[in-house]
Amino acid sequence: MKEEKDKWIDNFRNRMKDYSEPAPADLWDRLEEELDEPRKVIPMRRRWEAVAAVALLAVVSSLTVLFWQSPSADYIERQSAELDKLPQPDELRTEPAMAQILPAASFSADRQAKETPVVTIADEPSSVQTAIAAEDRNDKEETIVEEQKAEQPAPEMKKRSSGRSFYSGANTYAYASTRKKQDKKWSVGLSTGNGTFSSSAQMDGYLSLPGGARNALASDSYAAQNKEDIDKVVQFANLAEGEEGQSDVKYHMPVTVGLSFRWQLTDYWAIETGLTYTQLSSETRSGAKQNNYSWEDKLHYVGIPLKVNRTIWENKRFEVYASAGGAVEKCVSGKQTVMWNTASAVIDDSETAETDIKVKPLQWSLSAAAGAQFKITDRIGIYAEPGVVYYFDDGSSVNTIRKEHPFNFNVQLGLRLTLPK
Amino acid sequence: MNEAELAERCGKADNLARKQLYELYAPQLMAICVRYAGDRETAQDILHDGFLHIFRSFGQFTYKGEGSLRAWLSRVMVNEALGYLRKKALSCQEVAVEQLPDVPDDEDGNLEQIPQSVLMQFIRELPDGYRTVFNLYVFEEKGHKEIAAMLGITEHTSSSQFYRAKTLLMKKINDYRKRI
Repeated sequence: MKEEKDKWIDNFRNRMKDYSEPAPADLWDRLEEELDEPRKVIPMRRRWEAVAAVALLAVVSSLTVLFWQSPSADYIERQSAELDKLPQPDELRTEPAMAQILPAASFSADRQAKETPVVTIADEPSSVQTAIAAEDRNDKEETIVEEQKAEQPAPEMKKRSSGRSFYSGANTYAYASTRKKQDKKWSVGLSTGNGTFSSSAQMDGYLSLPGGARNALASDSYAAQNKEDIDKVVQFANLAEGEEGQSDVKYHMPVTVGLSFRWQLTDYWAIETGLTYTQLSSETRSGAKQNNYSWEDKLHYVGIPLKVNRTIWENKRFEVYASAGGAVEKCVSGKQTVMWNTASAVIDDSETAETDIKVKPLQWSLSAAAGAQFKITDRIGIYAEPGVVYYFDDGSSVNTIRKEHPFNFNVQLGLRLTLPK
Repeated sequence: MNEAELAERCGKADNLARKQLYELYAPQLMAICVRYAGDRETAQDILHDGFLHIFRSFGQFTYKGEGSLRAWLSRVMVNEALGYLRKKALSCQEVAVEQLPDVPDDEDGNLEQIPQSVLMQFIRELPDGYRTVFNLYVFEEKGHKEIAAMLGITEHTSSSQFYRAKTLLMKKINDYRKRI
């Protein structure tokens, strides 16, 4: 009996050996999803990364703003004061003297300054204007500035304005590319387009020009440069009066507008390229209350980016992603518009003049950004991408903010076409 | 993909292999779950948890020849089921002796011609405690000593539960035979 029972057990076991039950159909999908959880944690981590990235952006941008807003105004004032103590030969009325240029470099020990505004003073018996300020970016230390008489415009000058000529060559518009707000004050009659963001560089060459030429200094280093050599001139008579002057430079935040094409590689990863347009502009106002001049620089860049995107979170309508990549940009057009405003008798009209700015080299950059996209349809969306960009030196003589502050903040807005995998 | 290869790739968290493993073994493992749980719904939960356990601890599996994968999978699933039952604290459920039916000696509970699904149904209908011991004794081929240790019951309880389970099953089988 016992044996039989055991046999029954064996029978039972064998009988049921290959038995199987239909497994629930959707179980694998659930399992797959849950097994992915370790990977799904990544989005969580990515979220933190995004938060960290945004925080980093906030920190970087606010630090940048702080830095920009704290120019070494004190230092500049000090320097101006010192300059005021220098002997000021009033006798310089001869022709040679007129062409004098005071390179900023000669005043400052800091040769590293990338921009050196130069001041040239011309004293003519007639209605002469002294003034000037210009900066040059060809070499790190000199400049171009010049003076010119209203009545005697140099033939080479490309000016569109009336009698006063000023000319800003390709070298002078560097500041055009700056992009942030900067309020600087310095005491002085000196003019100049500074466009730098780095305060130390700015100090070089800012000179006050009370009443006359500082030829002693000027003649040393720039003796060779006479009037004819100088064809870039910015002239402004009133600066020579030694009245309290002030310069304000406002850099507009650059905004990049883009048309973007994205290829979805996987659910999370995508590669994208497109076309971008960026305008860099700045406004500079320099001089005294009543007598001053200002100019506006605008540079237009068209670029082609190549980026990798990683989706952090998305639903039907919105998507948040991180993006990293690079871009190459070309300055397609640049303009500098200068306006003179004066109450003096010498210059009685407000004038404006426009010159072209050219930047030949390509601008390469690397970027990282956090982006948000609103999907109008599955394929088309509008996006906003705040991020940080590192600009490589384009090797051009144009000293843009991208050179002064290669690591920068920007915002890109655009329309994106997404192609599915 | 043979068993060894499949196991190796599952060990590397290859999702394709995992899916194949699932498709290959889920029905058998589901049968184990139903056999222990008694109802499909609970069985599905066990199967789910068991598979997660399997995929996540695949590193602990070493291939020891044909059939070892299946044996390991079954073992993990049985443990999962036991864990579940233990949680429910139902493994010690007793059924009063007087409720046991008499099984005539002349009826030996012949299993031939009885469909597997019917046999399964009978097992499922057993009280949890009986069913658990029966499963372990018959299908996992455990001794009562082992079962007692696993379930935290005495050896005597194990054997008496098994006896009752078997008696109940035979009765059901015999009744079934009479109906056909």
